[in-house]
Amino acid sequence: MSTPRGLGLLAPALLLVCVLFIVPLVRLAGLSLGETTLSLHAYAELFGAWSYGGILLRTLRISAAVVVGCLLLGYPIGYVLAFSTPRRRALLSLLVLLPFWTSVLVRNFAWIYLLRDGGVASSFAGTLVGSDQPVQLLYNEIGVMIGMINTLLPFSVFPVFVALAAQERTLREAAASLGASPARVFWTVTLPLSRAGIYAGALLAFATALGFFITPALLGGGRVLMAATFITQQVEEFLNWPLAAAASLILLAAVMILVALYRRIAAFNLPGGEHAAG
Amino acid sequence: MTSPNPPPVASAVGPVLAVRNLVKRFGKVAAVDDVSFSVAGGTFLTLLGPSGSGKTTVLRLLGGFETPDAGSIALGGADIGRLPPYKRDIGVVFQRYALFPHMNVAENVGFSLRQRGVATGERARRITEALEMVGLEGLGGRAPSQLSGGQQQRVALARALVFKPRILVMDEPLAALDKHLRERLQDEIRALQRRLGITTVYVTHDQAEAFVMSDIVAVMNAGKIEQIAAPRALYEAPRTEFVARFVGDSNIFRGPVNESRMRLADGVLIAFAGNGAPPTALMVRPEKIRIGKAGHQNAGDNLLQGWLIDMRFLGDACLYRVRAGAQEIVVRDLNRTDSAHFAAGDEVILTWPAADTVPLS
Repeated sequence: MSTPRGLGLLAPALLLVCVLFIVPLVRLAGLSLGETTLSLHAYAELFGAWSYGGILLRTLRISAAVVVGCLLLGYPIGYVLAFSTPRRRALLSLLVLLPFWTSVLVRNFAWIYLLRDGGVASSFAGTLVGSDQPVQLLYNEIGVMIGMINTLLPFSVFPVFVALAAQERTLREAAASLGASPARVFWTVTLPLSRAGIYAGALLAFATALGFFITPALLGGGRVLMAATFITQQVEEFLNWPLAAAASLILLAAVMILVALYRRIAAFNLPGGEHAAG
Repeated sequence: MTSPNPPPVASAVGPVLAVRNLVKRFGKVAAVDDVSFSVAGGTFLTLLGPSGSGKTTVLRLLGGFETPDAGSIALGGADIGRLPPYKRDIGVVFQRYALFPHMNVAENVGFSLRQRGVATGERARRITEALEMVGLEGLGGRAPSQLSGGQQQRVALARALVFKPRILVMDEPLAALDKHLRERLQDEIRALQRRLGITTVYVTHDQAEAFVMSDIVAVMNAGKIEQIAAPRALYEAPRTEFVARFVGDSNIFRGPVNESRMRLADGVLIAFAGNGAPPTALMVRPEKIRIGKAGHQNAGDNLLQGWLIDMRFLGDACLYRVRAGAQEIVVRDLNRTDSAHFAAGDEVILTWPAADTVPLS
């Protein structure tokens, strides 16, 4: 792979990545260390002020909750996709991807309409929790999470689908023949062997969620400040480039740590536990 | 392994496994078309057939991975045809082992015991016992991926037997292994099966494998059982042309039949021993025919004159292709010290007794 010939084929892509990604990134890193003099002021400010740290924590917390929501909703969908006939699979995939292809504004305004106070969703949620009052679903973190889960669902559905579809049918049949009920087959064979898909789906959804900008702004109604919004504010309103650059790099670092973690987990698939005597 | 296996003793309560009029359709195609057979306790039965003959589907119906469209499967007298796999108590060995890759060997073998709530100590004891049984003692901690193909197949066997199932079914378990290993495992599986006395249904497309391992062989074709018999009976007295061709090599003759003679297109008469309905064809095995120099008098009810098209030297035998009138006949002559040698173009005579001419329907 690392032959000169292979490198030649990679050159256009490498050049593109260098010019459009690595160079701006280095420039961004430089910017975060001050516009005129070299200092760690921006980082100190970011970690020093409670409000700034709170924004980062909120971003991480919402993204994590969104990942959990995506997996809870996405796993069953991926499961159904994997065990459908090709025709039904094509139709269902289309339905999963439909929101993905819809304009982000249209999608968010649709949610605003659906989730608004006194709307169907909020009254229904009220009934669910046993209160006469409608539950507020819009212009708070719940609304933001609902919108983000809606957008990111395909990110968790498809890796799970791929992992399940690649699983050999005879493994489940073997487990059943050895006395495992369908539920036991799922917990002992199907689910553990689809872990790679779950991790990949979680990583994709989480990394994308960290950078969400429009959905938090619209469904949060300005009350749910997330990192991307904060960065834009710093650039556009306060012209504080170093702070925006520092915040961007911290987000990037968070994603890179997760990718590294994922690679560790994905490589770790040695069986453990029960050993026969001898 | 040339002597016929002892006939299985039928238990007093009837067969362990009885399949009656089993039908399974995929769309319009009947993969299994009215199949019936029964297996006595301790018997090794093989379903032998080409790919697409329905043998694997029968096995999947036994395992409960497919639901029959009609018919019944009785195990120990109770109909299990519609029970889910996990309630059947049948050990299954799959073609490509199907070991759980996220569990080590011991966990794989112990899986069924865990499902049955066997206590940890007892489980460990039985896992060790099962691994010893297949010659893999001490490998419990290995991952399946760290084992060779033959070892993986042994683990699959141990896993299918450790819970003492009522019958064992195996789907071409040796297909992925090389010839030498396959032959060794054939003997090992057979020996183990006899020692445990477990009723076994085995699927293969390999005739030699079926003969070496089985008490009874059922030849399948197009979803039906063509013939079910002990290997020797199947070889010596195939009932249909399909069986004759699929099991061993054969010379097939066709023509109008009068009494116990068939008239071939070139007027030659072939004598056969039969007393049933007139056969549609006759069959002679290549090694039943004696080949001799023209002019030599050979004993035999049937005598054909011809000339040698070509010969192939196999080491232990010679395979001759002989043109006799309108027929092309294959003869297998064992390589004995006193065997005559022939070359292409030689005139020869072929002789064989009427008793070796098998009428086919």
